[in-house]
Amino acid sequence: MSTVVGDMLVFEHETSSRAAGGRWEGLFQKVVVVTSGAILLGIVCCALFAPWLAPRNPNTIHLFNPYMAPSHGFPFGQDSAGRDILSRLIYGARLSLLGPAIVVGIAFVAGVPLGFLAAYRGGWTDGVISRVFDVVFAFPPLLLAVVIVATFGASFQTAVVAVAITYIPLMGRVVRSAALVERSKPYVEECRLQGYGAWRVLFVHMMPNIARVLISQTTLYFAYGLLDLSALSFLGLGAQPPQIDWGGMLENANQGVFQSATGVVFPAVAIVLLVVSLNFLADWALDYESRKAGQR
Amino acid sequence: MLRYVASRVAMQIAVLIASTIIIFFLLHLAPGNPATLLNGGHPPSPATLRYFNRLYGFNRPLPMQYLIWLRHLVGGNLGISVATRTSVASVIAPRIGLTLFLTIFAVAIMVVIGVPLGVLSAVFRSGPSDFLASFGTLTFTAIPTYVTGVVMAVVFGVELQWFPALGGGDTGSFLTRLDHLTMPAVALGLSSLALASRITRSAVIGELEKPHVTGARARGFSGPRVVAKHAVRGSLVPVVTIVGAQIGYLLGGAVVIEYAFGLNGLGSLLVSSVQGKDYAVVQAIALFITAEFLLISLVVDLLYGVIDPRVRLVGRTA
Repeated sequence: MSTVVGDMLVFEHETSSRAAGGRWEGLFQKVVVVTSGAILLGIVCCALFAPWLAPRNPNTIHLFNPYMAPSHGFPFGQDSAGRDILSRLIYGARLSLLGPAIVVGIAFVAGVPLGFLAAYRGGWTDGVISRVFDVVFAFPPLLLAVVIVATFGASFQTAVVAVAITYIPLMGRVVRSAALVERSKPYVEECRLQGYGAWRVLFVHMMPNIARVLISQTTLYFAYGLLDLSALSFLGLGAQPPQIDWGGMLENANQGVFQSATGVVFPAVAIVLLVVSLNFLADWALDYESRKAGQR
Repeated sequence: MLRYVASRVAMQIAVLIASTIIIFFLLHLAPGNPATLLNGGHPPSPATLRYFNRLYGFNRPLPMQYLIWLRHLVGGNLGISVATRTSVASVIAPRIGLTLFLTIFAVAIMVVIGVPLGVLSAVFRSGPSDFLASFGTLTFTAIPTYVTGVVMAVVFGVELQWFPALGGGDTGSFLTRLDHLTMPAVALGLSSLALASRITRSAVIGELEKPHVTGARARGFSGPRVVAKHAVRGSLVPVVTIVGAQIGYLLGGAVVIEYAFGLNGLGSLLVSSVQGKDYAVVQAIALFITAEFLLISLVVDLLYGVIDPRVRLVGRTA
């Protein structure tokens, strides 16, 4: 989906002149980063300890109480089948985190070596890899994932692999351009003169220097992976019941939006909170080095 | 310039052909055989199989099948929809209008509001408002279209009843359609708007600090003129890049928005065809949207050449 956004944010970051002073701004940024970290930690805890945290079984159906407003027994209300929204939200954190984690993992494992190789070897290796990336970029984001799901059938696994395929070239391109900058530096030449092999130069010597960009991009792609997977679930093409994820919950609530609008709020807020937090953390990670440099 | 145009056109045609190959071969990667997939997941009857063999050449070698398929495609024959038993073209054609209307509307919202907003916030940047602008846009870019859509439908459609919450005003006049599509278009364009203004802002700020802008100021040109003619002009390349990229994003996002608002466009048809295993329709819509996207990328590439004369020289031997 908004995958190009990531690259543009990096661009924006590098071109914008940051007002480095301002005590209040610094404080505000600290508050934002700490809050984002706390939100992320909270959601991870929900995913890990769901059975202990959730007050009810998330899949127990109360057919006579569909779309009930929040009450004492159901603090966040009930969905179309009378299930407890709070418990579903807590259990939903599992797939909502696991999905993007696998997407980012696949994109990392495939994209980083490809991007490195393209930058380091150059020539026709670079040409072939870059053209293959171009073909994947030819599809509007999300569209390719939808077609892949159409081909292999809707399920959580298919959705994750389909989204991951669209993220491999994104990761690869970021790594390629970062590695291209590094390659022209003297230390890489030095390593080659020492007779080190390509992989050793890439992973031992160049990797630490582009780690900052990589961490920031991975965080952003995690956020966009969540958005894409939730979008697929929202369309009924992702996780299938009885699996629970926030995109599917949003879809379920949207079907009954005329009966109860409150059900829409919770999964929407959960998705947005997580994505916004990840965005701020990514921004902060990218900023880290320059901030450290500024303090000296 | 002609050389630049020719190379860009050739490039996009090559990518378009590559994307048709991918869409074609996905059909053969699917579990089961392609005839079953095209028949909605059911084994085709002998008569249907004969029809498929004639249309797709399933009894021929794979490269031949691709060429046959491509020839039909160029001729406008996109196959048969299993759901309606009519030609795919006749299923798709009536829905194109709404999707184009929605997408163009959203693009207009993004460009007409987002870009000037970015320029203004670049010119009037100072202190805390600067950080707030960056905080606000970063937050808005993170809100997905389906959340915006669902929330807007609840607030403006159901609670306040300012706009119709469902339907696309298909039969009505231009104004009815505008009324029905305002909310979906805003929901679709909002996060792109925030991003466009963010990128515009930083591009204009970067340009304002360059010597040629200081030079223009020193020569005594008025503030607005310096901004409009010198700073904005110089910052157009990243602005056009982000607008182009976001149009691609809007094409994909329209699928979700149409589904959320129950609009009868290509996107909702794509979703219902995936759910109903109407594979020929899925292929056709995917191709249509991809072609649209490539056309827009081409326009963006050509705009680079117009904006920045240096771009035209790329690839030319000196």
